[in-house]
Amino acid sequence: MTTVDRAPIRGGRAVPYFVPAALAVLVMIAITAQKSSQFLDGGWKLVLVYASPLVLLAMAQAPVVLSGGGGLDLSVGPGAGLVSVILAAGLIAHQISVAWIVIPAAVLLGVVIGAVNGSLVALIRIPPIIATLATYLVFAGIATQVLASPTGALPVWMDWFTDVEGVVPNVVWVMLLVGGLWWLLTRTAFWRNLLMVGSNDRAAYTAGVPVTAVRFVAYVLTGAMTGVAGLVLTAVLGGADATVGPTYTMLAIAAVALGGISLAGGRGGLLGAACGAALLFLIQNYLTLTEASSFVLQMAYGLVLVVAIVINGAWDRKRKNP
Amino acid sequence: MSTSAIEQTPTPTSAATSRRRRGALSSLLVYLAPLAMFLVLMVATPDVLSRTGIMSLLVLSAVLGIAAVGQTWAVMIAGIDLSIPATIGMANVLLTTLYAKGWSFGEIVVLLLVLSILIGMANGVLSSIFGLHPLVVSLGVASVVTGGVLISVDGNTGGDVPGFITNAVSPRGSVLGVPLPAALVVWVLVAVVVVLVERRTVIGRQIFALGSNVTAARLALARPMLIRVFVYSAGAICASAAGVLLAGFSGGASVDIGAAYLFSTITAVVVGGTSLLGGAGGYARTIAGVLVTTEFTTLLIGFSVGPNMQQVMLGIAILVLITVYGRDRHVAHRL
Repeated sequence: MTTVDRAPIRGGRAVPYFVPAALAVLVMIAITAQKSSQFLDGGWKLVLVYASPLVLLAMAQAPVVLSGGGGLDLSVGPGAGLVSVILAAGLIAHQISVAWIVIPAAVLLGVVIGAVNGSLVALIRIPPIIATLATYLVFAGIATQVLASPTGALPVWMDWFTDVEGVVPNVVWVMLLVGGLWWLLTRTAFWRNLLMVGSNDRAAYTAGVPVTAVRFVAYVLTGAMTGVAGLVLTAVLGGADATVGPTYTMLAIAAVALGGISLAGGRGGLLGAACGAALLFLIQNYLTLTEASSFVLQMAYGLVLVVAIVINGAWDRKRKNP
Repeated sequence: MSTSAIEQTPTPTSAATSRRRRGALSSLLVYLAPLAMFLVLMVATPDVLSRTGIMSLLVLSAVLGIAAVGQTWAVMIAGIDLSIPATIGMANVLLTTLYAKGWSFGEIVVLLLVLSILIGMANGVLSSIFGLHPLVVSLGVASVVTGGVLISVDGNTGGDVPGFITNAVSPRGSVLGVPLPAALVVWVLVAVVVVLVERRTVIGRQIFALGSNVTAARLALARPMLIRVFVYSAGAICASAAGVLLAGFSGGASVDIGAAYLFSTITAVVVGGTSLLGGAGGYARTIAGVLVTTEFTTLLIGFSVGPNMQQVMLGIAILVLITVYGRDRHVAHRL
C-alpha cells in the first residue's frame, strides 16, 4: 500500500510523475532567458510574483483531483476572487487590516468555501463538476454583487507579498510554507487514503477507508489553499477585482493536467501542479515577449497546451506499459 | 456493476423494480419541470403570456438548445466539450465578415461545416489517444479556434448579417406563413434528428455503450475514436448553427459571443438530468433542461433581479434540482 504512487518499471525506481513538467519548466526558463536579458537578472522574480496566484490555485486544485470520482473544483477561481473581495471590501475597508486577523481570515474563508463544496460533493453526493459549477456561479455572483468596481488601498504589510528585494521573492516563502505543510501531510495515513480513494474508491471503501470523510477533507484542503491564493491575489492585484478570480479556474485545471496529475484521480501531487502552473505562465510570458499579436498569442497558446498534454499523455502511457 | 448490487440484495426483483420506479419518477419530474416553471412564470409575471413574450422565450431556448446538442452527447460519452463557445464565436464572426465580403450564405455554411468537422476531429482524436481528458483537450482546441479566427479576420469582427437570419430570431418572424420564428423551427428539426439518432441508429446505441463502459464498447466492436469524432463534430456543427443564429440578435459579431454558453450548456444538460458519468440520459432531457433554465432566467428578470444575483440564484437552483434527482449513489451501493 505504501507504493501506491510508485509503479516500479523494470526493476528500477519509477521516474516521478512530475519530471516532464519540471523539465519543461527548465526548458522554458532557458528559452525565456535567451529572449530576455533581464530575466535571469532579477526579472524572474517579478514573473514569479505575477505567476503566484495561478501556482497557488493549481496547487489548490490538486487534492480534489487526486481524490478521484471525477473530483474537480471549478470554483477555485471565483472562490479566490470571493476571498479577495471579502478581505479588501469587507475587512480592510472597515479598518480591520492587521496581519494577524487578515491572514487567518483568508485561510478560514477558504476553509468555509472548501467545506461548502465538500459537503455538496461528499455528503450530498452531487457530481463534482455540477456542484462546483453551481458554487462557481454563486461565488462569482456574490463577489460581483459585493464589489461592483475594483478597489485598492491595502495595508502596508501586504506589500511584503509582492516584494522582490530578497534573494527570492517573498511569495516563494508562501508557496514553500504551503508545500511544506503538504509534505508533512504526505507522511500521514490521510495521504495514502487519498491516493487509494482516488485510484479506486470501491476498493478503498472495502478496505475500510472512510471514503466520504477523505473526499470531504480533500475539498477543505483545496479550500484552505484557495484562501491563501485569494490573499496573494489581493496583494498582487493591489486590491480586489471581482472579475479576475473566475478567469483562473480553467488555467488552474489546465495547469494540473500539464503537471502530470491524472484527472481521473489517484496519481500526482502538489509539486506537479505547481510545475504545471509555472510552465503555463512561462509559456504565456514567453509568447508575450515575442511581441506577437494577441491573436497569434491565443492560437499559439492553445497549440502549446494541446501539444504539451499530448506529450505528457504519451510519456505517461510509456511509463505504464514499458 | 449494477448486477452485482442486485445480487447482494436479498430480494433482487423488488430492489430492481423500486430502482426502476425511482428512475421513472425522476424522468417524470424532469419533463414536468418546464411546465411547472411556466405556471410559476405565468402567475408571477403575467406579461410573459403575450405572443411576443412566449416566442422570445422560445427563441432564446432554441439557440441554447441547439448549442447544447454537443454538450449533451459529449456528456453522454463521459466527456465534456469546452470548445462550444469558441465554435459559436467562430461561426458568428465568419458569417458576418464573409457575408460582408460578398460570400453567399451557402458558401459560408459549407465552410462552417468543414471547420466544425475539423474541430470535432481534433477533439475526438486528441481525447482518444493516450486517454487524454476531453476537458483539457477541448480547452486547448478552443484557444486555437479563437486565435485562428482572430488571425484570419485580422481582428475585424464586424460585418453584415443576412436579413433572414435577423428574421429567424425575431419573435414576430414566420416560416411559410406559419407564425413561428425560423430559429424555433430549426430547433424542432434538430431535436427530432438528434433524438432519432440517439434512439434509432447504431451510432446512437454506440454513444450509450461508449459512455457506460469503454472497454465493453470496444469489445462490442464499437470504435471509440470514431464515435468521439462523430459526437464532437455533430456538437461543433450545432454550435456553429447557434453562432449563426446569434448573429441575428445583435447585428455585430464577436469571438466571445459564445462565452455564456460554456456553463449554460452544461447547466441545461445537468438540469435535464443527464449524468456526467456518461451512458445515460439524452437530448430529450436536455430540451427540458434548456426550457427550465431559460424560464428561470426570465422569471428572475421579471422580478428585476440583477445579473449577479441571477447567477447566484441559478447556482442555487442547480444545487436544489440535482439534490432532488441527480445525486450519485453512495460508494457502499456501488460495490
